[in-house]
Amino acid sequence: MTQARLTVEDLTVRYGALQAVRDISATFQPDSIVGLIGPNGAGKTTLLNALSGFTDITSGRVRLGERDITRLSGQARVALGIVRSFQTVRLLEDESVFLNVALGCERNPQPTVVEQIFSLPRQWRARRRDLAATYQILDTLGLSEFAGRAVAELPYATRRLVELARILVVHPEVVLLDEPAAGSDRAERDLMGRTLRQLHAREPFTMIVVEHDVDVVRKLCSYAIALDSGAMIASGEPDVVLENDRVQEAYFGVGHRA
Amino acid sequence: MPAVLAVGSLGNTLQVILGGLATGGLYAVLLLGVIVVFQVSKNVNFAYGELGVIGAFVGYVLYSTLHWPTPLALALGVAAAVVLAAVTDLTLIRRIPDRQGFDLVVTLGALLLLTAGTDVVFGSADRQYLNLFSDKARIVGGVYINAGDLLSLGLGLVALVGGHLIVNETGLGVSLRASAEDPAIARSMGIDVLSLRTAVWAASGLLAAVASMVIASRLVLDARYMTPVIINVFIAGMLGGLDRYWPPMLAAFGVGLYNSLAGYIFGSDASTPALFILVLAVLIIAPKRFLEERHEARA
Amino acid sequence: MRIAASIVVMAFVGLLPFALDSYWVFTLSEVMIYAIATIGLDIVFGRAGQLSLAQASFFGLGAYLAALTTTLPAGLQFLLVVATAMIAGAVVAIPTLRLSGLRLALVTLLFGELFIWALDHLGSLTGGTQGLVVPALAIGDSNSQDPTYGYMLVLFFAVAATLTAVQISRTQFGRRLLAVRDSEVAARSVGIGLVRTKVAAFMLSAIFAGVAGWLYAHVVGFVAPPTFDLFPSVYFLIAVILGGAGRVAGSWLGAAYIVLIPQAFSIIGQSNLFPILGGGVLILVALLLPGGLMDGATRTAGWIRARYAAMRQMSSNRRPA
Repeated sequence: MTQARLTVEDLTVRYGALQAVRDISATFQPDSIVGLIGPNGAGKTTLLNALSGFTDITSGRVRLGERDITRLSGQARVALGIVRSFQTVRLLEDESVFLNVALGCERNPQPTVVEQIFSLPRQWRARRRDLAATYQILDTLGLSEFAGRAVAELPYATRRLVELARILVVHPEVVLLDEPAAGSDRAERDLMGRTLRQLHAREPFTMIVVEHDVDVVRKLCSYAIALDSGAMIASGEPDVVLENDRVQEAYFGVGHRA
Repeated sequence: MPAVLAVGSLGNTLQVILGGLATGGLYAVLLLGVIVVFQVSKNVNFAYGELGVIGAFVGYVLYSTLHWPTPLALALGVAAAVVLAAVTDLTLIRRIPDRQGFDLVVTLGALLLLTAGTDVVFGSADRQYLNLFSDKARIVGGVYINAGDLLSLGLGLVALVGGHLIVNETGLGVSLRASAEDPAIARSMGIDVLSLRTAVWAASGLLAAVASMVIASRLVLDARYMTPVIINVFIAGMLGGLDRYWPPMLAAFGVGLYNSLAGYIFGSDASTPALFILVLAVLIIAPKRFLEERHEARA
Repeated sequence: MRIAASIVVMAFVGLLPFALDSYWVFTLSEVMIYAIATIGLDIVFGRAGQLSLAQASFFGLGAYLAALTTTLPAGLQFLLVVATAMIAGAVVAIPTLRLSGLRLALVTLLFGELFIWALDHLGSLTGGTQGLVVPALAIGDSNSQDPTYGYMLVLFFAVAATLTAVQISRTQFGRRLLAVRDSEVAARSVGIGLVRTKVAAFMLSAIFAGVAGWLYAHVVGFVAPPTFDLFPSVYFLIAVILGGAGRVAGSWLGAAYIVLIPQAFSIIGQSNLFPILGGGVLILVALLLPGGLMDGATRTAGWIRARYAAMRQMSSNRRPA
């Protein structure tokens, strides 16, 4: 169960003269699935970057529960359980699926480098724990048969799953997904949507998803936020947000990618 | 007497400055080649100085052993370096795997290969190179002015201004930058990116050979005399940033001057630590943005 | 099975010095010394992807420390070498943290230049370009410059270095190194501290090189600047790339190459040809076999296995899939 609620207050991110995100305030309820929608350049990725500590916040606040995490580094936020994926898959392409997923165990408390190198008792326990977690999530996502394969050899949709496994290997609090189905076809999108729902049902966490596909948003999300030119133009039930006039104009007017 | 001494030391100082700027001019000639290569192919060639050494050696063999006319010999020396640079791009650089650091590794290999090859083919003895005006000098107002220094300084200024005009003011420069920014777009504009790259590499060979010949005339000719020079050139490039133009080119003059002054004040032995201190100081002081290489655009 | 094989190999390696003449025993010691330093470079370059051209300087640091502290007991010398190498590794790593690629290579190269400069200019201490003779380290009733004893001494540390490197592959630290090399973005996204990882990699790599240098001084008995300048640093790089980045066996193969091949050239009286071959090999391996020889061997073995399996499949009765 996720305890903490993620909130942003008057969040602004500026790059030079460009306001990539303007005065956004929102509350992400624990264990909800929130869809972030909007045309290209609306600031969706920037918002994810600001939440995950991948970009500097110009003004405003980000809180996890009562804790102000605005100035925390990305590394510190990961330690609090805020993890993310990227629009393009970021994996160690030459390494095995197993290694890529085990990398996510960084969030478990790890023994010091000296303990690791000399294989001291704390390292044995950590290793056992991390191996078990890795095999478990591989099994859950149906990746066990690929465990020893180099990531580069696998089809795109599988690599997406590997990235997801890396995020979920240690139970997260908040998961930020940047177009998890980008570059996938219809069937793969549906599959990704179903997988996300199942994973969420099994062990809930707060999930914030950037997604272009209206159907996926409708089926997956319990809440939706629409952005345009860095500002929030609508939020609420996905069906309501998608029917909103300004959303229709900003989003579908520009032409949406199916 | 004190007045004379003062004039003398002022003269000395001016002379040191002139010498430093002359060296800096040669660094600028070399750095121009490094910059254009980096801008068009994102690679740095560790064997760059060695291309010049080979050009200088070919010239040397032609005029001193075969007694060909000096201008012809030197021209053929330059041509040899140009061909070698183009061949480096065609045979090596185009095939470099997309793996961090492998461009450096391949050109380090080329450095080793060419240095040792030059050693074997031309022998490891020091040779006196052509004077190229470094024997002509005149004392003006207490300053000993060497024609070779003026030649170096002149070449440096030509490289500085000529490079600026070519890189920033001509269609060729636009093509260069387009290829550097986005090869796919450059191709769609009708630019033959690969040929352009090879041409730029060839041009860098020309710059390397000219500078190496002048440097050989000031020092001696052997297989390794360009290695310390090229390290200084890379340092200037590193300090200024190879994806810019004016900062690194001016840094080339600056490094030449700095080295010369440090040598004058602390003795010629001090140039290695002096340079080291300069680099460390810049690394520590320089703002983060200045040092960052272009980052992955969209995380 | 694996344990039995290891015992056989260790017994063979341990008995080798009694079967070979002292020249070859000495040469094998050299291979092991260079293997230790190469394994060190493999940690920082092969695994963490940080191109360092200062490995020969760390090697030299250990060697000169040995030469200057011969009066101390061996254990104390060893601790001193490890501590100094750790500090030196951190000193190189910290100013270069914001750098990568060319800039990193250049600054590490400058550290190397400064080291050589210091050796040349602290003549009263280091013997300048003349170098220093290092008295043998007494071990029991013999000493480190006795080929067999030297071999055993080096073997002990080489095995320890190899086991350490293998163990690193099994740890989260080992995975952090690979992540820093392959994708800093991915590394940050799982919460890996880039700075701490890079500094640790540099420190470890310096310790390996320092210990190797320490052994070198005691076994060879002589240290001079050319053994520790830019070219040897490039040779270490060749050893890592030739053998295969991130593979311990590769480091051994690479070290054997950079020690044995020059010997072969000097036996035929053409020692100046080695650098040419070295450069050529570096280029060819980097272009054609970027995973190194070990990777090439693994791929070939995998290919053969796949062919074999396919043949068996064809010859056996076909079953519906």
